[in-house]
Amino acid sequence: MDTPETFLDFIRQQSGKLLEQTLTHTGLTFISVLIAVCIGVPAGILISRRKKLAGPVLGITGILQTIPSIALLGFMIPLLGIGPKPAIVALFLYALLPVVRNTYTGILGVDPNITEAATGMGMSPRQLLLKVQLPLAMPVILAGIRTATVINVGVATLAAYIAAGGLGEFIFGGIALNNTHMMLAGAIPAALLAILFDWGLSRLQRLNMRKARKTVLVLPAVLLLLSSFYLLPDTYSTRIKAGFTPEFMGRKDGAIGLRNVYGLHLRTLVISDMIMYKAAYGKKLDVISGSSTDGRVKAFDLMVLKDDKHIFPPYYAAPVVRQAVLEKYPELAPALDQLSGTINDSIMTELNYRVDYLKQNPQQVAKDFLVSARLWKPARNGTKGTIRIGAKIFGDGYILANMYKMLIEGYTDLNATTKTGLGGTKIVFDALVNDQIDMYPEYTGTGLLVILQAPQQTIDSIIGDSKKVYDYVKKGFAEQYQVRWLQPIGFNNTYALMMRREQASRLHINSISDLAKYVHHH
Amino acid sequence: MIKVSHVSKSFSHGKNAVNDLSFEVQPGETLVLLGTSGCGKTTTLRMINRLLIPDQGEIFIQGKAISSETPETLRRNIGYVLQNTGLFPHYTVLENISVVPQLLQWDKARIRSRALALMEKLRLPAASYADVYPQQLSGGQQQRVGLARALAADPPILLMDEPFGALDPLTRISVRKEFKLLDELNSKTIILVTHDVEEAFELGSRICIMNEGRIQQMGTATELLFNPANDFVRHFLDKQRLELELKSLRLRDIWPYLDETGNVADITLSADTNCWDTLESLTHGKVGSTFRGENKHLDGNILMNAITAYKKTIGQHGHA
Repeated sequence: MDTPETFLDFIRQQSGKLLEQTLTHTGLTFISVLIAVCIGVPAGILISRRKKLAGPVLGITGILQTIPSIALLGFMIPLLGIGPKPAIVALFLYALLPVVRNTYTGILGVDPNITEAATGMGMSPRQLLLKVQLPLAMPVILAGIRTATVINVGVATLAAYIAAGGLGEFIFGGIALNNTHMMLAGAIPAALLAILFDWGLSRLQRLNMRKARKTVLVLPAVLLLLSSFYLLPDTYSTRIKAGFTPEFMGRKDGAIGLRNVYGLHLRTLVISDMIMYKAAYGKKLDVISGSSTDGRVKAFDLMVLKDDKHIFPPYYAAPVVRQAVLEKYPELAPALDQLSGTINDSIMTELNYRVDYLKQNPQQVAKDFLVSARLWKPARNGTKGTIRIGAKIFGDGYILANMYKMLIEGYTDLNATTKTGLGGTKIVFDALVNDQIDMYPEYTGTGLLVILQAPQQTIDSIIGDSKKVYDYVKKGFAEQYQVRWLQPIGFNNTYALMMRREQASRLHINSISDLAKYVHHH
Repeated sequence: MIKVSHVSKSFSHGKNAVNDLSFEVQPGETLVLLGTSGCGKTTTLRMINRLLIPDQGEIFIQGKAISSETPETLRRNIGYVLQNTGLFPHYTVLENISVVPQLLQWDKARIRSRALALMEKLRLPAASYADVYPQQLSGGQQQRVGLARALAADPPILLMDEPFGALDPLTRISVRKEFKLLDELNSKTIILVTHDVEEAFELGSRICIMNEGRIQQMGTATELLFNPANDFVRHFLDKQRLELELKSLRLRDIWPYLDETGNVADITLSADTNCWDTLESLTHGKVGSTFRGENKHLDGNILMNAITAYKKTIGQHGHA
C-alpha cells in the first residue's frame, strides 16, 4: 500500500472502512447516551423528589466526569476486558452527569405555581410527572442529552485504544504513522458527527416547545435507531484473537506485511499499546504487536515470535541531532556517542521493565545504568548553552533522554533539559525540525518508513541489512532535514508479534510462520 | 357544606400559621377569608384541598372528613383557582380547560362540548382562542381560562386563592364584575382568599377577617362594619369605611329612617340599590324608590340623615 496522493484519494480507497468506523462511532455514542438516558432521567427524577440524595448522586456523577477519559477506559479493562463493553460503560459514565443534572434542574425549574395547580386539580404524582413536569423540563433535559452526545462523540475516539473501533482508529493511526490524510479522515468525520448530532438535537429541542409530548416518544426511538448502528462485525471464526496498535495496522512492516508475506489472517482489534500487553496477559488477546525491548514483555512473560520471513525492519536506536547544534557545540557528539554499543536488547528490556513495571523513576534507572557502565560523572553545571532533548512517550525514550542529559552535563559545559512525552513520531520530529528541541532518540526503521517514506523498491533492497538502513536514513536526514544520526546505541527495538509463553508452547508456535499455519488449520 | 373544626397548622419558619380555626360554609355561599399576608388565610384554603395537612383538627365536606378519601379524588371535586393562574404553558386553552374532566375520564365529546360551552360563557370565543397557548393571552383572559379550568368538571365547591391579585386595577374590576354575573357560580359554594377589603365586601356573602392565624370576626358586611367584634376589625376597615358603608347599606336597610320630601322623582331605583349607587344617581337628579308598597322620594340630605340615624340605632341596640 502506497501512501495515497490526496486526501480524497485516501477517502475513496478507505471508504468502506470509513463508513464502518463512522457507523461504529455513531453507535458507540448513542448506545451509551441511550443507557445514560435510561438510567440518568429516572435518577434525576428520583433526586428531584428525595432532595437528600441529590448531593451525593450529583457529586458521584461529577467525580466520574473529572476522571480523564483514557484513565477511565483503563480502569474498565480489568473489570470488563477490552472491546465495546468497557468503551460503552465508560462513555455511559461520562454521559451520566449532564443527563442527571439537567433532569434534576429541569424538574426543579418548573414554575411551582404550575405544579401546585396540577396537584390542586387532582393529578397523582405520576400524572404530575408525565403530564406536567417532564414535558416542561424537556428542553433542559434535551440540552443535557445534547451535551452528553457531543462529549461522547469526542470521547468515543479514544475507544480505539481499547479495541472498540470508531473513528479513533484513523486518528491515532494517522498520528502514529505521520499520515495526515488518515488523521483527517478520522478527525473530520468525528467533528462533523458532533456538529450534526448537536444540530439534530437542537432541532428536536426547538420543535418540542410546542409539541413537548410527542418529543417524549420520538427521542427514545431516534436514540434506539442510532444505537443499532453498533453491530460488532464478528466475521472471523478463529479462536486466536489479535490486538494491534493503530500504527501497526497501517504499516507496511506491520499488519499489511503479515497478510501479504505470511498470509496471516487474524481476527484483529485495534488497541492502544498502553493496555495491549496487559490485555494479552489477561487472555483478552492472544497475539499482540509489541516492541521487542518493551519491559512488559518480561513482566507479563510474553514470548516474541520469530520473524522468520524478515518483514520487520531493523529498529536500531540512535540519537538524531540538528546539524546546526552539532556545529555550534562540537563537544556534543563525542559525549553522546559514549553510549554507543553499551545497551543490547536484553539490557534495554531490563531497563524498560524497571521503569514500566517496577515503576522506578526513569532518571534513577538511567543513572544506575550509567554508573554501572562507568560512564556517570557528576554534572559540571556549565553555562555554555542549553540542549533540549525530546523523547516519545514510550519507556525507551524517557530512559535514553535522561542518560543523554547526564552525559551532556557530565562531559561538557552545556546544560540539558528534557522534553519527554512528545506523543508519536510526527509530533517529536516536527518539534525537532521546527527548532523546538535539539535532539531525540529515534529508530532507524521509523526514519526509513515513517519520516523518509522511502519507495518500496528501496525498502525491499535494504531492509534485511541493518547497516544499509542506518546509512540510508543518515544520508536522507542530512540532505532533507539537516539532521544528523549519531552512532547507534546497540539495541534493536523492532516490532514483534508476541504471545503468552504458556499458550505459545502449548500450541507449539515459535515463529510467525507457525502461527500462520496454526490459524490456517483451525 | 364545608366545616372546619378546630384546625391548627404551624410551620418551622413561623409564618402563615393557623391556630384553632373553626367555621362553617353553607351551600351556595361565598365566604371570603380576608386578612393581611401571613395571617394564615391561604394556609386555611390549602388545607381544605389537602395541599397541606392540618397538625390538629379536622375538615369535613358534606359531613365527610376529607382525610377519609384520597387527595386526588377530593381535589378533582373541588375547583381551584390560583393567583398566578398556574395554567400549563404546554397546553392550549382548550386543553387547559379539559384537564380535570380528563382526570375524571369523561368521554372526549363531552369534555370538548363542556370546555367550548365554558369558553363561550367566559367570553373566550372558541374560534379564536381554543388552540391558543396561555402565553398569548392577556392577564384578564388568562384568569378567565383559570376560572374555566376550575369550573370544567362542575365541582360543587370552588377554592379561589387571590384570583384577581395578579391583575392591574382596571382589569381586576371588570373581571370581578363578570365573575359576579356568571350564572355558573350561583350554585357553587365558594371560599375566596383575598387581602383586598373592597373585593371581599363586593364578592362575599360572608367575610371572615383573620389575623395571626385566628378568626377576628366572621359575618356579613354590615355586621363587620357596624358591629365590629374588636379593635382589630374596626381598624382594619377604617381606611375605606365610608365607601364600604355606602356600598353595603341598601335602601331597604335604612328605609324606616328615610324622610319623605314629596318631590317628583326623575329616576326610580329598586330598594335593593346600595347607598353608594343611590348617591351617584342623585348627582343626576331626583330619586324615588318603592319598598313594601310604599313610595319614597329622596335627596342627598335625606339619604345621609337616614344613614346617620341607622348607625346611631345600631350602635345603641346592636341591631337595626
